Amino acid sequence: MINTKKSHKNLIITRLLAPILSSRDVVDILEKIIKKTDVKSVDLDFSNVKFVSRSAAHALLLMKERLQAKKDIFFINTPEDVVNMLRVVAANRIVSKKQKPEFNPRKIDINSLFKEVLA
Amino acid sequence: MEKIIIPKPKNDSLVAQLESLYKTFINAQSKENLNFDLSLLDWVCPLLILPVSAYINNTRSNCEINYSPIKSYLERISFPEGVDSISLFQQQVQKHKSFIPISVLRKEAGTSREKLEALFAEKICETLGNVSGAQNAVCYPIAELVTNIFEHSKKDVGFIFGQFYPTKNYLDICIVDCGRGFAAMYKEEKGLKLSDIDAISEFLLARRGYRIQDTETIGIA
Repeated sequence: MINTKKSHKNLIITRLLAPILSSRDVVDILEKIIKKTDVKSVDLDFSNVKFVSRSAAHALLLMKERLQAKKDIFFINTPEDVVNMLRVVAANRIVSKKQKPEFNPRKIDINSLFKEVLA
Repeated sequence: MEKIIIPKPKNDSLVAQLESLYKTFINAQSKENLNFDLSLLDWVCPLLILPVSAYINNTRSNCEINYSPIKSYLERISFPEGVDSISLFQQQVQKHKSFIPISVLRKEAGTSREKLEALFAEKICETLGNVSGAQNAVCYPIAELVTNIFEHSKKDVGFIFGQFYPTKNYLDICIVDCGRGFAAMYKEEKGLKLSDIDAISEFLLARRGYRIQDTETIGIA
């Protein structure tokens, strides 16, 4: 008997989701799609993806970890900016930044601001 | 329904627009139905017009634009309702070429919302003339701030609008939600009673600096 079950599937991100990924919930949608496939290995094709936000990158990495017992997930054709974002987010998960930059906002009364700038 | 005349900004600076916005809402009760009169406005930027659009949509308030000198501009940017679908967005852009409409992002729309957001960002980049590095510079703050709306504001609707001023050579993008605000967020999630000012400071201090390569960025809502 020939086993005709496919072992591999390619999912094109721009077609399934959008060319710019910014929110976590769209990654949840992607996870549902992946879970429905009957293959062991899935390529997530990032061709023509123009941007992935920090949140979406984090959600993608968490999804890959969650599914690793059941599916092998690979990110392919990933543009350089997307690769960099995934790497930064992944690095931050392993070793989070200890030193944060200084931020010293000046508080000003709104009416003083208007007087100062619009006089 | 109380009538609110939106005062004309003193000049075209962002602070002047902020002052006009502040004076518009200073006496309004929270979520009150209002009737906005735009007859005094002969020029607006996103900072002034988008919060008014968001308020009208959130409270089902009204507006009067028939006697406004900028009536045709307001119609081209789909003020006050905005567009909440890809087809409407494309229709408006097709009709009004260089004008990007006010875009309404609804959380439940899922991938359609993501595509609309992408379309908005792409149109902005196209308006800029595809300058190198512009895509990340445009997409990053839009993505961060829109995510903040759906993750923190407890509102499922966000509003975005952008305008490029070629003679002044700057891009103005505004992102608005009618959510609970920082003070309410700290009270509900951490039991902290903070004034609006202290809540904003606390949020900015807690979220300061997310380093991407050599560029420091701060995500704020």
